Amino acid sequence: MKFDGLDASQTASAVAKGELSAVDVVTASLQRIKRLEPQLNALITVMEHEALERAALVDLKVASGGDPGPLAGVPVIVKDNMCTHGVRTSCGSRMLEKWVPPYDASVVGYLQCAGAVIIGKSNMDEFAMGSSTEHSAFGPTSNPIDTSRVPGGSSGGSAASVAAGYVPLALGSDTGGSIRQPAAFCGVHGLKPTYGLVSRWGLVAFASSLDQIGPFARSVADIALAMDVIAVPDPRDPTCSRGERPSFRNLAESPDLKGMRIGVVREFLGDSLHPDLRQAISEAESFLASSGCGIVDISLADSASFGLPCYYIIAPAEASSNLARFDGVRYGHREDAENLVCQYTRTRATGFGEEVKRRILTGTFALSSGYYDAYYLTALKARKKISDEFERAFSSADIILMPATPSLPFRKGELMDDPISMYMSDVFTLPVNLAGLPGMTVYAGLNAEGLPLSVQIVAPRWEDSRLINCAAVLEQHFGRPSSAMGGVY
Amino acid sequence: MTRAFETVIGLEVHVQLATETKLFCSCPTSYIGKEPNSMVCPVCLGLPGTLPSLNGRAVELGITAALAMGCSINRNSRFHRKNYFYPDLPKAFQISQYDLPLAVCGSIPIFIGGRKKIIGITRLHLEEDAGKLVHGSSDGRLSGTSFSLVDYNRAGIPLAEIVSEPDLSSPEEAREYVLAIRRLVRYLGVSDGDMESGSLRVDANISQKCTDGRWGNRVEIKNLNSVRAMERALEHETVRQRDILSGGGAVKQETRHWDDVAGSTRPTRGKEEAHDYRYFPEPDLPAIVVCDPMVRRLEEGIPELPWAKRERFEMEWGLDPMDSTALSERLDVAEFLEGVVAAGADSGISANWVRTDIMRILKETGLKADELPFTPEALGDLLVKISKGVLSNTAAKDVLEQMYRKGLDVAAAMNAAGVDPGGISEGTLEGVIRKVLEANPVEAGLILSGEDPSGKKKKFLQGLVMREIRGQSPVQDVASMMDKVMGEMKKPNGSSV
Amino acid sequence: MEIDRKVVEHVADLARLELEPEKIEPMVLFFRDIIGHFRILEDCDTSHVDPLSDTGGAACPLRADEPSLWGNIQEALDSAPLREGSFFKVPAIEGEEGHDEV
Ligand SMILES: [Mg+2]
Ligand SMILES: [Zn+2]
Repeated sequence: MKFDGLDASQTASAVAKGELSAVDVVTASLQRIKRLEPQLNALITVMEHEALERAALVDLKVASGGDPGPLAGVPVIVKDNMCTHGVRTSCGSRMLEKWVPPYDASVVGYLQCAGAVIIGKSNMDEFAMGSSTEHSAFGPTSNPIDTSRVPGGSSGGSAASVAAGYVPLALGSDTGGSIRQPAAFCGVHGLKPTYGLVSRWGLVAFASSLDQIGPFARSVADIALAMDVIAVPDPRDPTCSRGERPSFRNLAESPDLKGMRIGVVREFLGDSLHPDLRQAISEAESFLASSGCGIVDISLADSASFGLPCYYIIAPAEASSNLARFDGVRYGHREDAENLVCQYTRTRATGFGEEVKRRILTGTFALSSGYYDAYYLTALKARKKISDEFERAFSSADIILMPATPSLPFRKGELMDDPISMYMSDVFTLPVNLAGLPGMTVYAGLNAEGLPLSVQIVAPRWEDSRLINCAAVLEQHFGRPSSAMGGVY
Repeated sequence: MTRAFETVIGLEVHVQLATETKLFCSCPTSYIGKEPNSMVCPVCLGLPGTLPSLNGRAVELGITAALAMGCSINRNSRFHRKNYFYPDLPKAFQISQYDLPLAVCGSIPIFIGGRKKIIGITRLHLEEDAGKLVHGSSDGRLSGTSFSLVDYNRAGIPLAEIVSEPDLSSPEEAREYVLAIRRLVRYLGVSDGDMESGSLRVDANISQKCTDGRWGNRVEIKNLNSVRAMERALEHETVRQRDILSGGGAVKQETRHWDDVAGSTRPTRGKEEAHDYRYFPEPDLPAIVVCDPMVRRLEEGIPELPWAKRERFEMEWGLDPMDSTALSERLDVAEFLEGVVAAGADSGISANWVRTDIMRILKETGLKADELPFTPEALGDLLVKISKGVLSNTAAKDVLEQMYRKGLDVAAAMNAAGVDPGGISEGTLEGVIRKVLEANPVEAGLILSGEDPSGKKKKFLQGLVMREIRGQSPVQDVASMMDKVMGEMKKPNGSSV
Repeated sequence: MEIDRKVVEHVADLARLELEPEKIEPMVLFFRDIIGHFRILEDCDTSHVDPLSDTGGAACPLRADEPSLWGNIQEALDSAPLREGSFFKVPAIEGEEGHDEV
């Protein structure tokens, strides 16, 4: 059996039936990676040895008649901020260039239990701080659709891996848009679940109250399948909900939006939005209306005005604290020095890149005595208002439709010297993190230049299944993204 | 004009909570004497990607201590991060509580020279301990070295920080307060309260209030490793601050380090700007929600408190303050005593026995009173026998010895001690009395010639008899037999002495 | 409030980050820029907002007090940049009493 064009679900069922060998699937993935990596640089570490070993175990399990799991033999890539026992986890930083965790992130365990084969750790903006995957100590990643452009970030490596057909499924993390923005730039689907739906244990923290792990895929069915595997209660994460999760896969199979009210955010459709993306929104709107949805206008004025400053206070503040532990004492990079304070300041000066330092300093400033009330505390209050505003919006709409990014993928280097313009790329995604809501980037075709278009859909907390449902309907209209550069899948 | 001063002291006491596991991970807390870094995990090492998970027992112990001090328990409290860099702090922040602590507004009584004083408790909050630094070098030199070594076994141990109101007005009161807190946490089983091993640590804030209404600045003193050190430091600091103020100077608001050897405080050498802790709510831990049933359950588990017991022992049983304090200090001891009295023994005799013999046995064995091989009822029975004159004190002590060494019940222990009430025939008793009188002719003579009006000599001789017969005859029997024998001696045909 | 070198240097000190001299001025400019954006929040009416009412609302789960020893301590020790026996090792600490006990 040939496996070109198979998605994760199809691959898994073929492997489970013995029609495909996991080793063959993984070998094909590895070959493709070898061929395209010189152009893309989507991965920091390729786990060839470990992957082939695990694939062989999956085949053995199939041969012995055991249940190989819903992701049997599916090659998966995880962002390099998720800990992998025995495999270097760098966070795209010189600070952790050689760090090998002595434990797995919970999601890594869940994937492996489901029979998935992790074949690599993807490139990212250092410590997930960035929107282009150019802020990596391991060099920038290229967008598979147009290698002169960025793949978005910070989970750019994971998005590019799926877009280029390395794998059908990859995991990223999203603090202010780091799954949804690169998904949009690379022309794939990407879901940021409700805060607390997926365990953060073993995810190296950027901003703890905002971070959430989620999947990239080229089909909504695969997004749903991945969610069934990773969205489970985890006692190791006190912010991870103990509540029951629905079967996401069932929803993706028989989507039905009849009677759903779709809220369209007019504030977000102004001049700052690229016209092709505005066009994608209105196309989505019409199709959803024709699928039995009601369309309502909603306003998110606080999100539009205060989201960005609020986010760029809270996220760096938490980051400044989360990244304080990198001091050269217990793990990671260490700079030799004559006394302790010098060891700290030099280790951190040489271990962190420019953007990370900028954010640590910003966050330290926002929390420091004399500025806390004016900045951090005010931002916390603004966050509460943004969250309340979404709640009000959800009294008149079941799903919110809005853009994922203001622009199409920009060119490499274009925003590197302009950090604040770079921050603007997250303007539509970060309010969703501030409110802890689920948000999904859905592929919406290509424009005339062949660049990918997208829309973002947002649901109330814990209604992630509603997004899967809606995305599955939209996929009927926009179609599934095909893999760039002649992909395997 | 000479100014007068009042000393104003507030204390921060850290007690290590008696849990099996650390505050945010399942590592064991029994780190003392263990190999460095042998009781650590990714959480308490602060490895990337790890998250804290809160120990429910620590919350319960904190609430228990707070309830015993009459605090109000916050139904919603929060953890904050206190950020600072130091190698013993693995995450470079301490998870502590800040503006929403577990409990606020309580009090604890202390007793100074027989007078009761109520000391306000501002708050009780939970926080994690830091690791331990060993200053030394690879060649074993201890001073002037170029490296320090870090052990994280202690990192993450749960602490309750108890902050007092500035209600203490002398080093002596501060001492009584610390002792009261220590007694309480031990009594409740909240902590072992051991200052030596560091499970109880004290920082002191001290300032002077001048009679002309001016205040001296507050000074915080650290490195107080014993109650004695704290008292000395506060005495020293009182004099230092008063000297400065009397000379027209101003006390600098600062943190000072107590040097136990030099017997003085000196400013810490740390940089002042390092005191910007950038507190903010810990995003990895949702609010600690304490529900009413939980408070009620913990409240019901709190026994009568030591100061209440102490007052009751004095009021009901007429014990003196020394005895009542000593006997209410430990719950196991107090409850044992109550068991003895409940068995019908005289409260005074019981208190005496528990305070001396039982405490000695507990000290020797390291047992708790409820772990002794005999029950308070058994001791009660024994003491009733003394009151009834069935047994002498001495004999009873021998019996108790058998009860505890061999774990025998009262009857068997009496047997083993060779003590058999009524097991001495009248003839034998008479013989013993005669022997004793012959051996002590001076006393016997004085009694016979009526020169023992207070009966002291007689009591003395009776005691000798009781010892000889190992208490196997009731005291009344001994007395009447002695009267009989001496009566015979007085008769003209009786053998003369 | 004026953002100048002193503010940036103080913050860098708090964050234990050594800034090369030529990086300070650009950082001052960045600070002015980003704080300009922060000031948008001055238009946000937060007078009746309680920031601590959680968006999630869930209570912190409580763990049972049952000890277990972690099995991979050696791996963790092996990744220490500097070690002596089973201790982590750090350069001597200047003014060691400057540390605030917990
Ligand atoms: Mg404290
Ligand atoms: Zn631990």
